[in-house]
Amino acid sequence: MVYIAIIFGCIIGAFIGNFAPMISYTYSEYLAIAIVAALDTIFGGIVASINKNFNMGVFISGFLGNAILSILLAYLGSRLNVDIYLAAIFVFVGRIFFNLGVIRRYYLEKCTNFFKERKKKNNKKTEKMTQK
Amino acid sequence: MNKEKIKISIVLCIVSIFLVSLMGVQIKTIKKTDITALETMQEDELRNEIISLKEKNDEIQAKISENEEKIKEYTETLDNNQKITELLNNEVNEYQEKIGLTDVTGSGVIITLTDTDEQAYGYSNLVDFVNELKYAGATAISINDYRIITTTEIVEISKKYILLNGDQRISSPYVIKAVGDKDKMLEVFNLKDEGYIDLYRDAGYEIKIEGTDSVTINKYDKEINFEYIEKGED
Repeated sequence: MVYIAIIFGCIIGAFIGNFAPMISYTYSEYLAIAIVAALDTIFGGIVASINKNFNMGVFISGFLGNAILSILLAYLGSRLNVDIYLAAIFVFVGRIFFNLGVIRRYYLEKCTNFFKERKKKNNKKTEKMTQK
Repeated sequence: MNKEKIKISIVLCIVSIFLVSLMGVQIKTIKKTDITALETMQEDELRNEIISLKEKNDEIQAKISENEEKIKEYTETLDNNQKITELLNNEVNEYQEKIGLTDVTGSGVIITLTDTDEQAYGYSNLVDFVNELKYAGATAISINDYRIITTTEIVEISKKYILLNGDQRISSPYVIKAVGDKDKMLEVFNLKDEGYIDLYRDAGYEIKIEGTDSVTINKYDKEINFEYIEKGED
């Protein structure tokens, strides 16, 4: 259900993005950071929904707050001649990988459980067959 | 399918719409921008480039204004030169007129001297006439349309011919034209008994004088050569 919603959103987003206006190259740096922040939030949301501790307020504030704060920090960095946006990307991408790891483990566990149960069922069936 | 999961799905859908559209914008921007040129340069480099270009621009502007000023100066001097040239030309024309290098027209007299069987005019008679005309205030004189200037000599080469200006042979009748004060010249020549007209007529020469308001005297058509003259001290 969650994944269908995300894919649906991606399709609509691609459609909108196709018609969206271009921006100046100078600001594309900040937009890139906002995109990374949004990606991080989405993976965070997926993990939260997997762990069943999804909180709407945390999710939305994280989405907006992370994006805006990272843009502001990147702007400050460019003013101070410090590449702060690198740190922001480091943090966000690190968290994305962490969340991906959580998601991977969750589904791996699910798969292995699924196969184990099927094996058990098969074993029971074969037992029954042999009993007969 | 619980309510919570639907909520989550909707929010994630909206967020992913937002995210992917932003990504689309970003991808488009980067595609359209000439990255190869910009990527190799840092922002600072670009700024420096802008600064140096601005400096160059300023320099060029300064040069332009300098050149414009120069052009202004040159045109001014050119104007001045033109004025000077004009003045000099005027002066040259004036002097040429004075020494006989231009055709002149004005009021004056025409004296016609014709040889007869009894009396023929000699070179000394012509010299006398020229002298007399000068005395009477003539400013330009010609004999048979040959201009008399300061260096003109009047010499006899035979009984029939008189030489002017080195190689201009003339013979009777001699037509002497003079530009000047018509009345004064007529007065001088027509003086009773003392004037040249009476004197020559009494001696049996044929002579005729007439005043005119418009007599044209040709220019001296050879080169004037003042050899052996060196500039004296003032």
